[in-house]
Amino acid sequence: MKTKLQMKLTVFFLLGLILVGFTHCLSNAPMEGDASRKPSSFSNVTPPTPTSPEEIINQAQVEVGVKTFEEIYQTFSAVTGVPETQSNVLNVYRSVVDSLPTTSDVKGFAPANQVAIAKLAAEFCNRLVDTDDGNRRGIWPGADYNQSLANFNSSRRMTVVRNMLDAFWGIDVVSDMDRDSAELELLGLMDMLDDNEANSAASTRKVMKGACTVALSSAYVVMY
Amino acid sequence: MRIQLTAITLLASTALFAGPREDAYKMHNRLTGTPPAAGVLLEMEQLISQGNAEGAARLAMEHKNFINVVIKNWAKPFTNREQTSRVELNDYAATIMGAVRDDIRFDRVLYDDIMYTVQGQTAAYSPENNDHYKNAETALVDFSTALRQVQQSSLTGLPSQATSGVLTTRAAGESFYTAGTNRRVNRYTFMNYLCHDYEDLHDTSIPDYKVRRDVERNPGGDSRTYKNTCVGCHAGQDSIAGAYAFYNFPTNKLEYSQGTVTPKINAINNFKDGHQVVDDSWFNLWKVGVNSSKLGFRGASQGNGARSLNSMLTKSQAFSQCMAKKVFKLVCKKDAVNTDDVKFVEDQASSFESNYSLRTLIAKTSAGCLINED
Repeated sequence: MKTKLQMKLTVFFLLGLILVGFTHCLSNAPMEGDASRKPSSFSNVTPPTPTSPEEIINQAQVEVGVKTFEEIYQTFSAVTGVPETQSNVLNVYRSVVDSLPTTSDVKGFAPANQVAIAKLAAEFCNRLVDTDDGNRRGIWPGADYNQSLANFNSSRRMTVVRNMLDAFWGIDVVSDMDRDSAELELLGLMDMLDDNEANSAASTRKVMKGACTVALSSAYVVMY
Repeated sequence: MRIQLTAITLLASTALFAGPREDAYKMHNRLTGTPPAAGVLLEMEQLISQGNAEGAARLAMEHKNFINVVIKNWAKPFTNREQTSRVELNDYAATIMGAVRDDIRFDRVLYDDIMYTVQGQTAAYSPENNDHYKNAETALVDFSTALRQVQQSSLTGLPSQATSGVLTTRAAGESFYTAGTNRRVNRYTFMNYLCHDYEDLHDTSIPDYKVRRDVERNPGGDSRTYKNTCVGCHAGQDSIAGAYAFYNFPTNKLEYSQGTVTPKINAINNFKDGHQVVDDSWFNLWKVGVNSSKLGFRGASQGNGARSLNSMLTKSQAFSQCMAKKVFKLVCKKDAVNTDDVKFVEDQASSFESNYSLRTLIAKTSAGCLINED
């Protein structure tokens, strides 16, 4: 159940992000009378003037892209430290690769792409949280993975979230406002994920994986 | 509901604020498909702050994934009829990857006796299958170091003078020389490297004396269709596609028969007085008429064989403009549509002609589109 809920939240979160993000990409939307639409050696066919909101969106000039299948895989490997050759993540990648984006055109981004991204992120996070190695210690230095859920308090959760966002989203490349909002959102998600969970170290890691999956599969990681 | 509201609140502020650090982060992501390491990000940030965005781009391009991921998946669609990156790595794409890595003049990629293989592979290169590249890609080989330049003719069995860069590789053979009449390879060259399909070049004013015998002169019983439609493309394309008359890909290997026209070229005879291909000569009838200015042809108007034809095509303005447009799309994630972007791409195309360095074109374009976006 938790996994399904986590998946639904992730999908909703990212689809929303894509849709809202669209509003930031219309700065050069060609409009009626726009001189830039005049034919030139680079544009010898003038498209019809859009008349409906859907047509305007379709003709809008987008200035962001979504990473393509191999870029997403390499990005997840780079930010988590889990090697691209690791068999578990490689197997999941090969099972979902056909559903990952083929082109960087954000207008072609589909729900199936996001589901595949979330599946791949979940496997990277599973590997990252469960494996006691330099990657885990590098992202969450000093974290206690054997603490019970009850001891995984707000302060510790905030540390986990901040460390994770530093690793996945980069340091000082996302606005403070966005970071603050994301931190609150991820803490809220952790609260939801620990409902009815046993008070065990396994539950603590499960909650970490859920937050990790959301952060890793977010638009800040898969768009550029 | 709480999740929805907070998510939307979060999402509403996704606009990236763009200082040198954010620019560097985005630039690295776009050039390599992956975010930069901390040290690289800092160095790129400093370079951008100092006004050297091109230097920052060049630094990012040192990352292995510039070749392994970005250039590879940029090149793959050139290699197949579906124009998709969802194909195995092959000799065509690997040659583009190697040429970009080594900063070889990119025009050579279309006409020289050149190819790249992968060092250290158990399956040696074979002109009869793609195992060499397929196995290397499956094994996640680092192509940014493993690619080795070779003489194409030394491995494929083609005479050196019959090679024409990526256009005579095995992958090109499998995609563009199978069956048909070898017009396909020329059409895809125009689409991939001049950014024009034949339909864009439709010109019924061109004399039709080179239109081959397989083109019906009265399709559907109406000769006006031929005069008003068919001839618009065939007059030009048939005059130059004869350059490929000696090639064929009958089973699993690109073959070349010096001095002998491949039988399939003249196999269909729908109009006995139509042009019959007797050698590999080409004559560029599109050098006159509306396509003259559209494509900006320069150099020879006629010649023999694929190499001389493709050498001529790379000298055209359309080639440099097409490469500039494709690179702009690759690193700026948009088409050049507005006035500033169109001007920028035109300038990059002109600059590209000074040395045909695709690496430089990518670095300059990557730097320029940051400025244009800010």
